[in-house]
Amino acid sequence: MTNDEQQIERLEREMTSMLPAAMPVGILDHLTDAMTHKITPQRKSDWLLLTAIGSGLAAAFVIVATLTVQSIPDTPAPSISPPMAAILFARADAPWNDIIK
Amino acid sequence: MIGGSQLSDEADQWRLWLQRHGAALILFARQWSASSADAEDSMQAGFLKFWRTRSRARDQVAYLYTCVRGAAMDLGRSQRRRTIREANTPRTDNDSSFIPNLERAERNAAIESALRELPADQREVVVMRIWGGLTFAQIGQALHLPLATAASRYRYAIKRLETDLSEKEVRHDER
Repeated sequence: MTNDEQQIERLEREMTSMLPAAMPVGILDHLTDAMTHKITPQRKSDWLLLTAIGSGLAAAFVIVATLTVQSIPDTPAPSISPPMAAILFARADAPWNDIIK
Repeated sequence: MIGGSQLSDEADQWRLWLQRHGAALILFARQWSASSADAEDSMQAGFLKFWRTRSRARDQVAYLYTCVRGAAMDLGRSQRRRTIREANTPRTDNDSSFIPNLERAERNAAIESALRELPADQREVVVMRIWGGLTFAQIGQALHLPLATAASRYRYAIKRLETDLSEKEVRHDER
């Protein structure tokens, strides 16, 4: 083994002996919770988004349905009902000249 | 579909794995993070992504490293944008990423400093190999590199670290 290789091996050993700072316990607990619950926060937010989209679609459907129903022509309303017409004719036939005088 | 007890067994196995290797994973995320707290956030985000999508992994450990790397890079990018907006915000977190060793404090500090000066693509390979304990095949898979490239990048990085440290020692001795 050359001198260079020995130095490199020594450096690798030194680096291996350096221990990375420990992971905070809270992280391990958080990740364990996420693993044991099938619905992760990401999934929950997905569901919230889907619910919001679903609500929007439902509201749009109601609006379109309302507008469609309103645009269907109603049955034509009778302009004047027969008794009313009779009254009008009666009034037209009244002796207006006498009344004015 | 994984049954409840099977899921629990798998979660237990990963909990044990995290107890042993979580610190190395945070050190890996630290390469792209402005602070230890950001590295921890990236590690968690990466792990959660890994957990949701682990079924697609050929090698789960390599895939976990890929997920953590992606999460750390994403967070790093968004922070760079924020830093540009908040111009001249000093980096306050200069703490060591390693457990202090009083006997070898100076040498360890020199190694850590030399490690920081390595190009990112070399540094990540060194961290994965030395502290993550990954094989070159796993490193290649995690970084989407051929095995030979991962191995040569590692050897080049170690050689460069050795040279940098020797030069610093010589300069130190001359003073």
